[in-house]
Amino acid sequence: MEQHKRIKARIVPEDQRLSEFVEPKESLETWQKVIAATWDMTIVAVAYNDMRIPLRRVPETLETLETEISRISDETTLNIIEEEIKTGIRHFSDILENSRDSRDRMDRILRATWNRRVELKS
Amino acid sequence: MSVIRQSDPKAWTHVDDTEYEAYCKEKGVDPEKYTTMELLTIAAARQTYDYSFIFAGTGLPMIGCMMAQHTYAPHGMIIMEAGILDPKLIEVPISVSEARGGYMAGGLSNMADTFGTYAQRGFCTFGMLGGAECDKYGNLNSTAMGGYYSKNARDDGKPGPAVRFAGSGGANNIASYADMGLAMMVQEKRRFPEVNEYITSVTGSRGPIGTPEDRWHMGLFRGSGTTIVSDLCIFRSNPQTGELEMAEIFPGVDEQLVRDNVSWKLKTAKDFKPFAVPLHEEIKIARMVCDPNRIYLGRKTKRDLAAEK
Amino acid sequence: MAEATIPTFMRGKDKIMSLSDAVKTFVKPGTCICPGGFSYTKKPFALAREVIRQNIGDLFATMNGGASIVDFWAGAGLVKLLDTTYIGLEGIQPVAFNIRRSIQDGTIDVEDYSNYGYGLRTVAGRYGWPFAPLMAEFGTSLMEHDTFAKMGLRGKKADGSWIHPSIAPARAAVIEDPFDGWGLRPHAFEGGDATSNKTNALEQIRESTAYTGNKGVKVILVPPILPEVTIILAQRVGERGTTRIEGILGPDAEQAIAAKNVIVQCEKVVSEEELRAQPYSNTISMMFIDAIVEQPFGGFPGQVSYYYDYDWDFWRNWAQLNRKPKEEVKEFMFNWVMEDEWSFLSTRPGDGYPTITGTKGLQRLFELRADALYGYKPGLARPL
Repeated sequence: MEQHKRIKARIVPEDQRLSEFVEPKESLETWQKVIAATWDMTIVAVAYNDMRIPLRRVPETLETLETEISRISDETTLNIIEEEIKTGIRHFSDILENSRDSRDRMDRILRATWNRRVELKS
Repeated sequence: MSVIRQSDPKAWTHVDDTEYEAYCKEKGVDPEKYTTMELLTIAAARQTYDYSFIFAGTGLPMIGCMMAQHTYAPHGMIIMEAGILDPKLIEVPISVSEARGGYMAGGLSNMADTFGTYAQRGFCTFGMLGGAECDKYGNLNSTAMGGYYSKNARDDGKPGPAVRFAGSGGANNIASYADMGLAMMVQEKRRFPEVNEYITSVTGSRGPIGTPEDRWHMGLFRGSGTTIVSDLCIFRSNPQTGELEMAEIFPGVDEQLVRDNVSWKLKTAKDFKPFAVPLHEEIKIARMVCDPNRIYLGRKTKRDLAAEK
Repeated sequence: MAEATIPTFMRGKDKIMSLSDAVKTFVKPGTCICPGGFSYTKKPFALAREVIRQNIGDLFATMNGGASIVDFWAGAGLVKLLDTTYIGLEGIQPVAFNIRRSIQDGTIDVEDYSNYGYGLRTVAGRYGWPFAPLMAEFGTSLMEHDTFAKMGLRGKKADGSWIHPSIAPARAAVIEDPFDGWGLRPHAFEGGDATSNKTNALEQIRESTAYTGNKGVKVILVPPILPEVTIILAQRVGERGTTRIEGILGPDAEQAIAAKNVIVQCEKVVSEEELRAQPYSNTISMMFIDAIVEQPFGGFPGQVSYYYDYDWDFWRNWAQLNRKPKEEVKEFMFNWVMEDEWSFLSTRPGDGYPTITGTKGLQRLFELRADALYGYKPGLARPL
C-alpha cells in the first residue's frame, strides 16, 4: 500500500502533459548496444531477485556457525565445515569478482556519460 | 526417410589411448576384447542415427542412449520419462529420474508432460526399452508370468503370479508412440516365446500385419516395426509380415545358437548380414566415457558365467 | 452473510508440524496414500519412515514414479492394495523384492497402469476432470485385466455409495473419437506437421473395430486418481505452504494437487516472501498444502537435486537385504527407522553396510553432498 501511494504521488500534472514530436538523433547501432547491455543487467537482476532474501540470510546463519566452532569436539566435523566453507568461498568469490568487474565498468560508464554530456553542451 | 548417421569416429568424444590403457589395467579388462554388455550397448547405439529422438526407458537403455549420444547420434535428443528432455550425459544415470540424467537438459518437466508434450505430440523416433520376455511379433512382457492376477483377484486358488516383474512403467507408452521400437534383451529360449502370456508393450506390429491383430487395428496410431538387440544377434520385424527375423548376427555366434534360443521357427531376413565387429573406438567410449564404474558394463549374462566355468 | 471462517487449507504457520504429528493427523490404517518422488530422487523418505515408526498398516498405496518407498513399506508389512505402474528399483534391482514377494504370496493386490496412463490420471485429478484421454495401452494385456474389478472393489453399493471411495468404478473405458482423429495432427497441415515422428497411421486406425466393434478412431479414457493424502519432498517451502521443487519434477505436482491432503517434507522452511519474489519458480500453491515438515537430509537414502546425492552403497546393500526371509526384513525395517528421525539420521547412514570411507551418521550424509552446479555429486563412486 505504502509503495502504491508513492507511485501515485509521483504522477504530477507535468508528467501527463503531451509533448511535441522530437526527431530521433541516435543511430540504431548505438541503441542496439544500449539494449544489449541493459538486457544483460536485467537478466542478472531477475536472477538476483530470486536470491535477494537468502543472500541476506547467509551472514546470520554463518554467524551462528562461527560461534559454534569453539564448541566443536570432533576434528572430522571441522573437516566437513572446512569443505563446505571452501565451496561457499568458491561460489561467492565468483559472484563477487564478476560483480566487481561489472560494477567498476558501470562506474566508468557513468563518468563517461557525464563527460560526454559536457562535450555535447560545449 | 533421410537417415543422417554420424559414423566418423574422429568426430566422436575423444578418449586418450594412454589413459585408456591405464584404465583397462586398473579394471582388469582386456583393452581389445569386448564383453557381452559392451556389445549390446554398442549394437543398440548403432541402430540410432543423428538428429533422432531417443526415448529411453530404464535399465540397459540408460547406457544405450548415452552411448548413442557420444557416437552415432551426437545431436539426437534423449527423453526420459520423469520430465527430462535432451540432457548431456556425462555420467551414466541409474534411474530415468536422477540428476545425472538431467544434467544440461533442454528442459525439466513432469511425467505426464514428457509423454504428452514429447511422445504423444510427435517427438519420439526410437523407443529404447529393456524387457523380460519378447515374442515373435516384438511384444514385450515386463509384468508377470504364471497368471497376472494377485491373490484376491484370482480364480485358481494360487496366492499370486508365479513371477512378478516390474510392470509397464513408461515402457508401454514409449513403445506405443515411437516410430521404431528398439529393445535390448538377454536372449534365452524361455524369454523368447512364440506368444507372450502377457503383453506389456507393443514395440513391433503386435500380430501379423494386415490382420485385426496388428497394432494399428488395435488403435495405435504410430509405429513401423521394431529392432530387438539381444546378446546373440539383432532381430528386425519383417515390413510385410511383422514377424521378427534374424537381421544381423554377432561375431563368432553360431546361427543355430540363435535359433535354439527362440521358441518359434526363426526366419532369416532378406538383407541379413553379419554385425560389423565393434570398433576399438566404440569400446573405448563405452568404457571410459559412458560407464567407467562398470555399473552396466560389468554385468554378466548366464551364458557369460557358464563360459567362464 | 454467514460468519466467515478460515478454511483449513488457508491456515498460516500452524501448518508447520512435527514429523510425527503430520503423519498421525493425516495417515490412518487403510488410508489411500500417494508417495511422491521418483525412484531415488526426491522421495519423501522421512515421512515414509515415520509411517513405519507409527506402524500404520493396511495402506492403499498409489503412485507413479518408482517403488522405493513402497518397497520399504512392503518390507514392514504395511501395504495391502497397490494401484501403480512400476514396482522396480531401476538400475539397482529390476523388481523391488519385497513388493514382488508380497504380490506372489498374496499379501498385496495390485492394479497396473502404464506411466502415461497413470500420469493422465494425475492430470485429471489435478484439474478436476472426470477422465483424461489416452492413446497408448491399446492392444495390451493392461487393458484386459482389472484386479480391483475382480476383487469387487469397483462400482457402487446398494445404497448408492462407492464400494471403495478411492477406487474408480472402472479401470478404463474406450470411446470412439468424436472428432475422428482430427487432433492427431499431421493430416491437418499442408505438407505434414513439424514433428519428428514419421509414422502416422490415422487412416489405418479409422478402420479399427477393436474394443467397441465399430469402425473408427478409439480413445481410452482413464479416471482421475483421488488419493486421501499425498506425501512429497521439496527443497523449500514457505511458512504458509508455497512449495518450490527444484530439478526434475516427476509426478509430484499432479499427485499432490489431486489429493485431498498433502504433507510436504522439506529441506528448509523459509519466508513466503522469499519464494513469492519469484512466483513463476514455485511448483505448488499454498492452498494445497496441509502440513509442512522441515527435515534436512530427510530424503536420505535418496537424492535431493542440488542438495545431496543418493547413497549408492545403501541401495546396493538393500538389493541383497530385501531378499532375506520376510520376518527378518520386517524386523530390520522397524529396527532401522529408530525412534525418531534425528536419531535415525545421526546413526543409520553408513551403518550396517560396507562403504568406501566407513563413515557414519551425519558425517556420512555430508559425504553425499551434491555439487550445486551439477545437481548431484560428480564422480560419486558407484562400484557394482
